[in-house]
Amino acid sequence: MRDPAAMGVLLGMPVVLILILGSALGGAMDSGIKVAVVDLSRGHSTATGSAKPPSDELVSAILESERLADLFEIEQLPTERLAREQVRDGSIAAALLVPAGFDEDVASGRPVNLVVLRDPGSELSAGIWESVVTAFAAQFSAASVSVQTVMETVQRGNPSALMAGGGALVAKAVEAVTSDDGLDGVKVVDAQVKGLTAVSAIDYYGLSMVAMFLMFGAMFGAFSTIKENREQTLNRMLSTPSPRAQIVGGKMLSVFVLGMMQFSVLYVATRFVFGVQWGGDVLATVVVAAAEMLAVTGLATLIASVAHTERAAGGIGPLVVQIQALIGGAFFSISVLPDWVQPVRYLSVVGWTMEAWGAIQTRGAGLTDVWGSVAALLAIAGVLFAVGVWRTEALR
Amino acid sequence: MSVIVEIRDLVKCFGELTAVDHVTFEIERGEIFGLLGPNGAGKTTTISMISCLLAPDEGDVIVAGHSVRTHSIEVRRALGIVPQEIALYPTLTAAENLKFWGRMYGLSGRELDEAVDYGLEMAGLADKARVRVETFSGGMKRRINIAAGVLHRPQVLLMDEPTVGIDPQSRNHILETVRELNRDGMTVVYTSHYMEEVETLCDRIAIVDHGRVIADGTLDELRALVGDEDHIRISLGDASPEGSAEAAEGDADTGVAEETETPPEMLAILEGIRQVPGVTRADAVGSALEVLAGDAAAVLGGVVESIAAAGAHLRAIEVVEPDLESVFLHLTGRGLRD
Ligand SMILES: Nc1ncnc2c1ncn2[C@@H]1O[C@H](COP(=O)(O)OP(=O)(O)OP(=O)(O)O)[C@@H](O)[C@H]1O
Ligand SMILES: [Mg+2]
Repeated sequence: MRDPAAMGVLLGMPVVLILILGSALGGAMDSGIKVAVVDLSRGHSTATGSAKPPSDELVSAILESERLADLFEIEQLPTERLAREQVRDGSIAAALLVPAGFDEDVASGRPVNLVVLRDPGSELSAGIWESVVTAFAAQFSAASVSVQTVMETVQRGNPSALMAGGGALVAKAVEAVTSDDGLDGVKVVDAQVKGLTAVSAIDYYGLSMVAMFLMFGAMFGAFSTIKENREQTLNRMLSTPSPRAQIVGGKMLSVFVLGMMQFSVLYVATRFVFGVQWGGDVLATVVVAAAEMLAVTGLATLIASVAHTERAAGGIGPLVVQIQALIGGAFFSISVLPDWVQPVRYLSVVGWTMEAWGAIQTRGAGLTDVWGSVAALLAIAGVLFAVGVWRTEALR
Repeated sequence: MSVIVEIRDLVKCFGELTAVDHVTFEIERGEIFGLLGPNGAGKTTTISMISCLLAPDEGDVIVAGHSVRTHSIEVRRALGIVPQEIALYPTLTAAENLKFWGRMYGLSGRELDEAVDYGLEMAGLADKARVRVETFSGGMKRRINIAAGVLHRPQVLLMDEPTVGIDPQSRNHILETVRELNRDGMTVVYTSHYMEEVETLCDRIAIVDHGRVIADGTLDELRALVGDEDHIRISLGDASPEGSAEAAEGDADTGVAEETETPPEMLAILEGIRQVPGVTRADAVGSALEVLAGDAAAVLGGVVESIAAAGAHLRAIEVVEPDLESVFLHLTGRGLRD
């Protein structure tokens, strides 16, 4: 990689993309997410006397909360049908249904069941709503509160825009419901959403662009050593008495070192210049980067072995990186896609990298928490490399 | 003399194509061995199997007592290679390239430095040591390409068409280098489709065609295959604008074989010559004609007459020693290059 232009692309492009994606989608964080509440228990309440029925109490607590108002635009809808329609046409991200038997269940101490209707295209916003609702509802009963989520099957709009601000909103919501001067009488029982770091669009795309461009860089580096001189210098090299493992290992090492250098530059630039939050565990972050690099090197070896010409490899490489980046969630979070497609991210080197980095970033995960993703990347590296070498041998 | 490279019944297929088809020959220590054949004959494939780049489908190669199948490291240590394609790093200087390849052959320290100097000297490029290889002419690259293969003083040097596409001066330099290396005791396997190079350089020659060895031996042994008839080579004005037979067999700098059909007027001329009493055979070799006769002097008059009768313009006619071109023609019915 003596080519300064290539270096410029590999270091400059991610920074530019982080800025574009981050600022284009950053606005989404400021506007509230539209949600609705439907109280179906009304008129069915058996509660008598001066006390308001628990359903009323819940709904008004939600509607009147100033803190929630910062995050959500909440309206009350009269019917479930209307709520479903609005979720489906995207005018609201989610709706909470307080079911008909709610008050009786609370009164008799039975488990309380709330229903959240949500649009799969704005899962994260809806997910926040769901968490908040769970937290709210928990105070009404000693019995467990369960929230059942019903997906509405229509997707449109710009899910990634909602997505982008999602992390920050989760954090704000949690803060709202957990702070001491929060809503009167509200205690969070559900600890699941605790400990999340607020992340913004620039944080998300900071990670994803670095993951993707590391892949470009390592792929590029691997091709320039594996493929470019394959028929000539590599052949001559393989005809020297130096052991093959040493030759191939040496090449891979140089790719690896260059990749780690690229990572260092991108890490420092994104973290200190753009303020991207990488999370606390730098070591774990670096280990994940190293594992990604190995996986990409394996991928490059495979591509080099199946592509008949250097040109073909040069064409396939970037295409593969882009597909990997796409299904790995580099351009928008895969969580906005329907559940059944989500496992595709595990076919992607970027996907595994993002999973691990995301955990370090938002959940404060450390090396011990991300070893699964690291192991997956190493396994990908091993398998692809072995197949690549085997294919190369087979061609000879 | 002892055998240093033994090629036993070697086979290599690429899909349907049998690129090397049961090839067997031996190379003696200290000789320059020529591997001569037209484009696509399987020369590079054979060399690649000797140098452990391709695994044989069948057969084996023994180099300095080691099998390529079981002891490839030892084989590679005994060999030096000059690949057909330039195998150098264009952005590195001549000295850097040599240093790199020397190291790959296990040289280091003083030994490496001396080898680099030796290589530069040999290539006649000592004054260009610090110049990037990408700025070199084709001939200069070829010379460095050769030097990179001999830094470690291999027992056997495999050279795959080392003179393709270069100027006559560089070519002479290279041929002289090969002779020098050989004088120092290096066994050389010299691959080419230029028969005159092989003729002047090589002690023994194997002629390959379509993956098979069709003949091998010394130049004299190969010549004897054509019999003791006289060879008459004829150049025609119309068909051969270049003119002489020398041009046809001389410095064919393109090295590209064209699959040309013999034109009908040429066929008519050949038919006429074959009618001349005493002529045993007449063939087209590219743009020239090759005529065999028991006694050249007795048929020359008749041959010239029949050419004139066919309306062709005679440029040159000569009686020649049978060369490898004649041998190849005799064995295959085709010219080596055409
Ligand atoms: N890797 C390969 N895959 C498929 N076919 C091949 C491969 N290498 C060589 N061939 C074919 O095998 C035949 C022999 O090729 P080879 O390169 O050995 O010929 P050659 O005698 O060196 O010719 P040239 O003078 O052109 O270098 C050719 O028909 C060639 O197309
Ligand atoms: Mg060849």
